Amino acid sequence: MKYEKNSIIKLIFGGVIFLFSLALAYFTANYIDVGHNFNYWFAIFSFTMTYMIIAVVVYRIFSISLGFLFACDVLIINLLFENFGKMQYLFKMVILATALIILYWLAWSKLKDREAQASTINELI
Amino acid sequence: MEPLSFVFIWPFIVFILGLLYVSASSWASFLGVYLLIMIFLAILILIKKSNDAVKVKGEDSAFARLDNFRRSLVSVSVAFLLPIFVRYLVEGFDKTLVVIILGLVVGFGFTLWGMFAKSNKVLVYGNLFGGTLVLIYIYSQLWQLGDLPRIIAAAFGLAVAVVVSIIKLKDKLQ
Repeated sequence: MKYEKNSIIKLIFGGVIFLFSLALAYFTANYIDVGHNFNYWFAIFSFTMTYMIIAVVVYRIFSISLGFLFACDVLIINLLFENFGKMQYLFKMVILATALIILYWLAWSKLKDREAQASTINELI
Repeated sequence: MEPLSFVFIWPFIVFILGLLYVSASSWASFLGVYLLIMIFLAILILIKKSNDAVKVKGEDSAFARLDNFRRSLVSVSVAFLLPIFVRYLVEGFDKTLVVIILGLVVGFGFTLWGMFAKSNKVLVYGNLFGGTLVLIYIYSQLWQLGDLPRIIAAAFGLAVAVVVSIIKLKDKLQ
């Protein structure tokens, strides 16, 4: 019961961090785009990178890490959605190749067949 | 390392789905819409199939279903990112013959991996479907490129089919 309660609190805090980090990124990007001569999308990109670094650094605190990572997702997908058509094919190719490489690594190392996973666990025991 | 990869999996899958949506919608023709509908249908079918499989095996729990859902999403992402990647590769190098041949190699390579690999079902399904889509895309591009690429592609396909038949499908005499 206590474990479930903790999980719910973690989820709530993750959600709060996600919402506030998004709000901070968009409001700041909007502010510096209007008031100062600074590119809106570059500001969004900077926030994405910053959030990603924070999420990696504090990866043991799931609520913060997941909140920032999902905020990164929203920011980067928005960034790509608005600018993907203008990018050069080579750059698009690099993005997709990187995504594919990570996806293959993930599938190869973390999503093995259940039987193979069970036998590995048995061997370790 | 383990908690880090655990934390990263779901946000990364969400990012990949977003990337799939963005790259398919930037296709700027009915093909993009068609691709998006296919992706959506593929996800639905895979989720249904994997949940049925879980029920049959008697492991019907929320964790097993979530695991299946994750596997299905990764398979679908691999299957649809591969042809989009090859499309950018072909377009990026102005549809030169070398790149078309490279696309053929990639397409046949992944399809054969999907056909004959025995482990890692996630990659098997993703590669099989993705490799097939790559081949369909490459062969659809050949008609605009003239006779020589068409001849090369037909010869390449024939050679692959013959070699695979010789290596993998040979009947053993008793």
